[in-house]
Amino acid sequence: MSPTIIWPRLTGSVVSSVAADPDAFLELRGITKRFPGVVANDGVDLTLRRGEIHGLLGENGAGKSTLMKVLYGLYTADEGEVVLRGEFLRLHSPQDAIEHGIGMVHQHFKLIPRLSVVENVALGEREPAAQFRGRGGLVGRLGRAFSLGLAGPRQRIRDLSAEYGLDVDPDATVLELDVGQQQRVEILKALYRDVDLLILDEPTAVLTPQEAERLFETLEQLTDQGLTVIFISHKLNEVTAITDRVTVLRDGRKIATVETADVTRAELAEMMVGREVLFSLEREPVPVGDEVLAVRGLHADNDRGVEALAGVDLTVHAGEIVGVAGVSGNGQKELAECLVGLRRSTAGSIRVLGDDVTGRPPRHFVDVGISYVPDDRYRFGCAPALSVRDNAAMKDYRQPRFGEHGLIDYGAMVAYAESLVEDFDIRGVTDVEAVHAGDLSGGNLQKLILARELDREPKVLVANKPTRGVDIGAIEYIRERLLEKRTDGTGTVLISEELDEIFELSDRILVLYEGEFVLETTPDATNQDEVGLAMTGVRPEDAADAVEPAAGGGSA
Amino acid sequence: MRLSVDVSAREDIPPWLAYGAPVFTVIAALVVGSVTLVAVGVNPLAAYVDMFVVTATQPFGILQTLTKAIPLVLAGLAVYLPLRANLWNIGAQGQIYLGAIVGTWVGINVDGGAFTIPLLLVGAAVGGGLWGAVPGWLRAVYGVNEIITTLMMTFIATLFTNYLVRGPMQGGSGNFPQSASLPQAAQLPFIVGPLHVGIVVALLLTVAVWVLIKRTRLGYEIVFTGSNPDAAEQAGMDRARIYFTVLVLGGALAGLAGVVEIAGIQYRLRPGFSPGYGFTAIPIALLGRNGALQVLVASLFFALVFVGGSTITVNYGVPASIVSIIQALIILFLITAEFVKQYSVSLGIERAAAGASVGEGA
Amino acid sequence: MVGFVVGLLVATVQSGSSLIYASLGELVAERAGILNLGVEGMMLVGALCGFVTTVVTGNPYLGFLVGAVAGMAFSSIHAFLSITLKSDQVISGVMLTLLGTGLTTFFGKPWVSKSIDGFGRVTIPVAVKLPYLGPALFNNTVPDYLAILLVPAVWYFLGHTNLGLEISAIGDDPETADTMGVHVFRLQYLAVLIGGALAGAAGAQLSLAFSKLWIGGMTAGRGWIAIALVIFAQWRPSRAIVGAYLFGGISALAIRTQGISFAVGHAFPFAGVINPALAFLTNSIILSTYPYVATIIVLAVVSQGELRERIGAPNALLQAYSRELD
Repeated sequence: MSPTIIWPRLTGSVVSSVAADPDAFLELRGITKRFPGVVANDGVDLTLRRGEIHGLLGENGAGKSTLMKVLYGLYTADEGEVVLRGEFLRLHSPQDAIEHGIGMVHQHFKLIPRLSVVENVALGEREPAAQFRGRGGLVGRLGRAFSLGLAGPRQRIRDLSAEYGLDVDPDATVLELDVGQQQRVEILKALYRDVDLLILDEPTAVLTPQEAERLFETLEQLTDQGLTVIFISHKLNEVTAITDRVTVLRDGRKIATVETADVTRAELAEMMVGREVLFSLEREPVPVGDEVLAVRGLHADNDRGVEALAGVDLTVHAGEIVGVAGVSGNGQKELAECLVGLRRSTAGSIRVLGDDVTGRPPRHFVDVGISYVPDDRYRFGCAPALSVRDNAAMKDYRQPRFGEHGLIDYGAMVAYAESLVEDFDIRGVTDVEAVHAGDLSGGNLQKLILARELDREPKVLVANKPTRGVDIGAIEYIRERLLEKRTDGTGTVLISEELDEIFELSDRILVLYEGEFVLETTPDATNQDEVGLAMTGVRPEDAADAVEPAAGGGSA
Repeated sequence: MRLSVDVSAREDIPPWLAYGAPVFTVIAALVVGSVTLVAVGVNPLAAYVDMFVVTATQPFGILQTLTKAIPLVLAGLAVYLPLRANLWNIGAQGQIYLGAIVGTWVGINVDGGAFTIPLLLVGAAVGGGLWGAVPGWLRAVYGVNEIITTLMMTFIATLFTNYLVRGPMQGGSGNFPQSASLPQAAQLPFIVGPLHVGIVVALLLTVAVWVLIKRTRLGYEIVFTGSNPDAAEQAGMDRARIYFTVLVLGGALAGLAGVVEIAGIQYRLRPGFSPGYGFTAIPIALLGRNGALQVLVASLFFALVFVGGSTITVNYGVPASIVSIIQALIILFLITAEFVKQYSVSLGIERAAAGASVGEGA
Repeated sequence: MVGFVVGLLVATVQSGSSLIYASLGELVAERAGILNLGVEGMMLVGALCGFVTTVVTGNPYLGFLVGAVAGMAFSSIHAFLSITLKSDQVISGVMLTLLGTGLTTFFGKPWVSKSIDGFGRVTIPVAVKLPYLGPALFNNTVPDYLAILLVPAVWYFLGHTNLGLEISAIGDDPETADTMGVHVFRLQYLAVLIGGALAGAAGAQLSLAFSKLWIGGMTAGRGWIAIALVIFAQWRPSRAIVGAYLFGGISALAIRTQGISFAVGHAFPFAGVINPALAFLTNSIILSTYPYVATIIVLAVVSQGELRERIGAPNALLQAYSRELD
């Protein structure tokens, strides 16, 4: 059984050359969307058939979200068209999209916790009380403003609930609902407005496996009733379980659209994740030293109170880089924050050079010799409104070389900042006092942060996506410096989504999925496909199954 | 075709706007304020000349302005310091009262000989500091918004003062709501004319605050925390300690503002002795938010408004409230200017084109 | 004793009316996410304008209306600065109080010695005969009755009308509300203007019904108490009226106990400590601080973790909303 694959076009052009599918319900033709410095969508074509569950698969940054925001009216494409039922669509806002029957369930719910389900669903519709319904003119408008007719919506919600098996109590306060129920309220919001197409953005990111099952049942019921669903995800298992067809995006381009039943998970992973190696760096063998970081049984919750780390063990030695691969949202942020003291673990221990630092404040972690390159560099990595000088000294300002007896020697700070700028080739800094961190380009800011964190000879370095959003030249530079620190004896935890980076830099590789390490290996003992599969939830034991054609899901 | 009003952030602030903005706003405020003057039959131009030019050029006017600036500088610093950490100390007025209470009490009851004045200054700082400590602690430990708590503490302080001067601290002849008079040893000596030694205190503290922010480790932490509390926390800075410290120090500064008014001019504690210095301190801190020296300059300006305002009250029979009116107008226009500086407003015309629209996205 | 209590209750209700108006107005504004610290200034504007109108026309009803409109007009400055210009709401509000106080003192000078008949008492027969509550609730002026009626009206508005629903949504999450098609800016303006109108009405009640005169600064901090009240009432109208009468009662009590001293007998254990403490705590001026102390305590208690979500401030209070384009 050979897969039907539509090969990717390598250039973007406005007019689509793909013949229109006669069953097409919605077509995106040649969608191109650019932002400063990056092409988020490059000539993407997508065709949807009515009543199917269509998966949109790709890594973070592949362009899935952007494409859907174009479809939903939040963005306007630079090139390309959206054709719905044969009609060209001009969408300027989510309201336009809803009017044309396109609804979206966002990853971060748009609900008001204080209000009830029916109030949330009916918000903005201005349903008046019964006596004003259907009245026009001034009376009608006043009636709609000054009354609230929830009886109608309430009943409608009950009807929809029954029809689609959603089981939501209209009068429950959203605050009291669990995440799965809240998501169903989001779905209800769309159904209430008579959508024909429902876009779900990473819907299972916040759900437990049981809740995800429940969601899949719901989606099947929706499509049985004629609704079309787009299911955006990076989780291969789920996409293959639930979708009829899958479109894979990578680096802003469409790689292929395939029938789920005709393709293996391994093939999908390869489409999603494989890319040419950009450059190869020399990674010499370095003698591995003592244990510098020992994490045992670490559990932690995310900001919503849901468990994000489900018991991880991690050991790092001096002179080694441990690469933690995984798609973000699987506990990476929480792991990094626990390792630097920004987040309290709920169970487990962290020891640095034998010293138990569990539960200590961030200051202790800094003093003990842990350096941190965060993924959100503007929020945690620097103070963008302050100067390069101030940001350079952010970690070490307490050191005697910057002043004694509670004073600061800004002259020394300036000299230090300048030396960092020079050593790390940070461009755009004419004057370390006049230029603010926020003025620097992404790559140069990251180099500044890296410079600061590496220069202090850390025992442990936690680097979370250090090359994300950074230009090519800086990427190579940053990776070289990480290797250099490895030679110096620093033990590094490198958290990344980029497989070539993981393979290039790591001595050992761990794969983080849903809060647990599902694979532990070395670059020599594995390959990108295996790791890529593990990143999407397929454990090595199941890898054999993954090369069998997927079972396929949804209605034919 | 769609017409739209686009408001977009400016990339760079043109220099003429950056420097001109404060000047334009003051002028605009004065123009609007002139309406009130005209309404009571006063020639606004003459009044403003009297208010600003004459006051600022005559020796007595200058001395009065400097004297008025003393509590304003201290109160301004009291709001400025927490503001560097991005906290609003709206309660400077209350801390002023507490400082005045403690300072007056010390001055009257403690016989310290030559040390009486330093003692009452310290007492005032402690009193004001304690008053700032309560909202400071609530914010540091529980995250309770300091805007409301400092405000509430202000009214408690004002009422408490009323109580004290009618009760435990009531003194002097007759049954007036005032404290006893400060003995000679507790009165701040004069330097020249109405200007008293309090100016030294004010200047010293301006320098001290400047040094704190610009030269110390704590100052670095305060500025960093105010700029990005998350990065500061990651760097190991103790947010709670910083929040608590700046509100206590702010309270202490305001406390000093209170006592120098009493010990330097009024010599006894009365209710309402501070005509809104704590609230005027808010715009002063806003104008001077980049440095203690700027706070000093802003205080001098507002002192000029106060003194000049009193002058025209006397010379033209204009109600004293003209001062508050002009102060308020200046600040309101200043906020508007802030907006104009940061955003440019323009009209946009959109043509509906295939899949694209003008002035959108990147 | 009965006379004292009845007198206290009567004074409480009358004193509380202006607090009801002002706090309900502030409540609406804050529910839409805008903190209005200019209430005191707006009350004074309403008081003066209402008073002047009544002196000139002899019609207190007209005066009351004008007072409300004046308050609303004055609050439009705050609305413009906070919503359109997205300026700091704290500064804008405090400065408007300063401006309002200054302007009304300035322009109000000639009106200080005037007198008016103002609102007369309207007695509701039968009900007024109820013990204690009767004379307190049913022998008041029209604005007093209106204040009481306003409470269920605001409650209904916020909880049972589409406008109210949208306002509540905006105060919690303007972005979500915007996505759902709610006109965020328009409704924020509406909320602030309602707040201003009610603050103006509060002031007019003071000058036309409660005191029937005009003096500069006559609100004497009631505007600030109203702001404290909203927090104390946890943004619920039903609690606002309780708080208003509570705080109003405290100030009425404070006046009435001025000459009275409370003490326990000398033989009472720890009398030496209790008596001075009692004297302090029941001192009329100290009594007046209780509303502020209570507010701080409520805030401290409510800020402890879990509670914050259940009760609590509109989530987006004090945040200027701007629709971020890509």
